[in-house]
Amino acid sequence: MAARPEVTEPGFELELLGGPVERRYRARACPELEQLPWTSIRVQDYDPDMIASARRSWTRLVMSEYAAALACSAVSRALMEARAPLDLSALAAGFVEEELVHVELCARMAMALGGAERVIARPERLIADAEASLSPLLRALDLVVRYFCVAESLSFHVARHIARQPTVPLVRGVLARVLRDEARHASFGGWVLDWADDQLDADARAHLARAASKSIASLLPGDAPVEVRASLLDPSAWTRSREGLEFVAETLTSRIPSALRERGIAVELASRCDAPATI
Amino acid sequence: MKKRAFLKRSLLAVAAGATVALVLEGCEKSTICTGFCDPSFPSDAGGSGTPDAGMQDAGAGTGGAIGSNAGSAGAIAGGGLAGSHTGGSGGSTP
Repeated sequence: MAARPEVTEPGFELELLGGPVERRYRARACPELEQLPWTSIRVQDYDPDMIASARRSWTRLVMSEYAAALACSAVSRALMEARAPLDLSALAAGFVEEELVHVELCARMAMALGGAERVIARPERLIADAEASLSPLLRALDLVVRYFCVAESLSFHVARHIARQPTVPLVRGVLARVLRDEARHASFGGWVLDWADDQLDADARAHLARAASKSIASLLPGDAPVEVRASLLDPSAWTRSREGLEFVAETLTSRIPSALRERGIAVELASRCDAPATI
Repeated sequence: MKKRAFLKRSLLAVAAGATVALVLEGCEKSTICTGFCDPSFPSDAGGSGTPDAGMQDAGAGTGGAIGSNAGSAGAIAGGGLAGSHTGGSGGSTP
């Protein structure tokens, strides 16, 4: 294989502006965040491999939450363009801020463990809008189904399990805040579909079913579980265990499709290996 | 001209010496980047990695860190805590 150019791009990093901007952000979005025991983890007390693995996980969660914030922002705009009820659009707008708080939580976890791993990401390309040819309503619902009905729903179910894993007080506090928000996010997709129900014809429902199927296929885990060592600093390691992988697959192939079918979105499941060709 | 003073500071910084471990590229057909659209970017990685889901650190691959290109090219999908990381690729720079 021909050699590709060296990646010279810096890794993804974030900063706070501080001053009055930070004070307003904290007062509204996360007044409790500074109360968490951010300096309580003594890195030297843990196995270096465990620290490295935990840093990796928390860095990737930063990216995942950042993508989530972008997706919530796209949904918020799409709902307004579709003239959705104001309170529905406002909830989606609030989710953006909540996801950004999750970004900060995960970033501070990574930094508490020694710093982020190097991730190359272009935020402007992390989220793809729905097809422009769709009606404003279907564009909004396309995003809502893929993001809230599938991804956020999976996120909530996984977060509930992760929050039960043994961990240290700092991680417990971080997960508690995330789980609190994710519970509402997971309900949101159903609320939107209930609102739009009488505006959807068979073609629209078929489109949404295809969108959901593709999202599910792209998230399905592979077959091989990864060797997992319990880590107090990285409860998300549970998702790499056989039990975790089975739980993710079961949630994606059973719970989530069932919830969509109850709302008239007849999801047909594609296999994981079909995903690259269909997304 | 008056300019307000802030206390700008770093929130997330890459650890010293860290090699590329994950590349997130856009996908025009998915809600959130999965990286499937160009799995080989940016490394000269061989192999396709092992897909798995839910906050996995599969992006490390098995090779890498030879020459200047670390094996990497994992992918991320989904959002929030369920973000799934897919397929690390081993570096194969001779």
